[in-house]
Amino acid sequence: MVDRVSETLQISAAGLRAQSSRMRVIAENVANAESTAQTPEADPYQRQIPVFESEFDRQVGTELVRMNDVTLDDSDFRMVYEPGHPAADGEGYVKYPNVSSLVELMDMRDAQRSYEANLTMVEGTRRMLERTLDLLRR
Amino acid sequence: MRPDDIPLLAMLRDTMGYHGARQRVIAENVANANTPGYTPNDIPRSEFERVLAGQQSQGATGLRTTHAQHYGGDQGGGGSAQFKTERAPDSETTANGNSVVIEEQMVDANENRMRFETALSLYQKSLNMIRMASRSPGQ
Repeated sequence: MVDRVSETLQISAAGLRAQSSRMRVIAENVANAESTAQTPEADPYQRQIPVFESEFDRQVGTELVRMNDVTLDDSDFRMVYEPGHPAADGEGYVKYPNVSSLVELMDMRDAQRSYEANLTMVEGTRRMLERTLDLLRR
Repeated sequence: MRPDDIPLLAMLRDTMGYHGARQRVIAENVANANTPGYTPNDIPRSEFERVLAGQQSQGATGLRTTHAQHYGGDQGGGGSAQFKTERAPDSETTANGNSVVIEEQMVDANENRMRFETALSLYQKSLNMIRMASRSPGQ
């Protein structure tokens, strides 16, 4: 019973870890929203998308979620007319990263919500365990 | 004699085992709330009833122990009942094939915890009754 409870806690902890890695990727995107290249040929910062995966963990003996990989967003870059910029092409356009702060904000909210849900699970499981251990106290 | 030898306590223990296992499954669902292609699982009530019925019939046909040194077969003492999970998609599926709705999982988790605590309180009360019965009178 108790090891099953600690397993539950491990699962939730993996969820928390995955969501916070996702937050890190989102923060990276937002921080680099204006990171252009140095030359006209080079590409600017490309938006990163976290990908989750459920993977079997030998130690815990169950599937744990983790951030498997970060893929790059292939959508087009924003073209901004800025002739004086070092990265401007022949017509004066500069490639800006394909990061939309609105999308990142929504993503961040979603990550936050999932994080809180995992935290609530930890809280609930902990209370179950505590109440069980109370049997010993009386 | 172990507390499990009293049928009521054994049954309550199984109930708590079931809710402990279910809590685990729900935690797994919540952790995978953003995993592409993930379908949530659940342990239905019928599964608990199946395991419970299995254990009760096993008790009737199990090995008889007529000597203190006999092995008692499997008395189900370890709480090792295995519950099978089954897929239980929530009401919505997102574009990436994930069908976990956090709200529904939270409701399930709360309901599960309440039932667990009910069984736990009953267990506690039953133990108190045994304790009361074994106390010498007038104390």
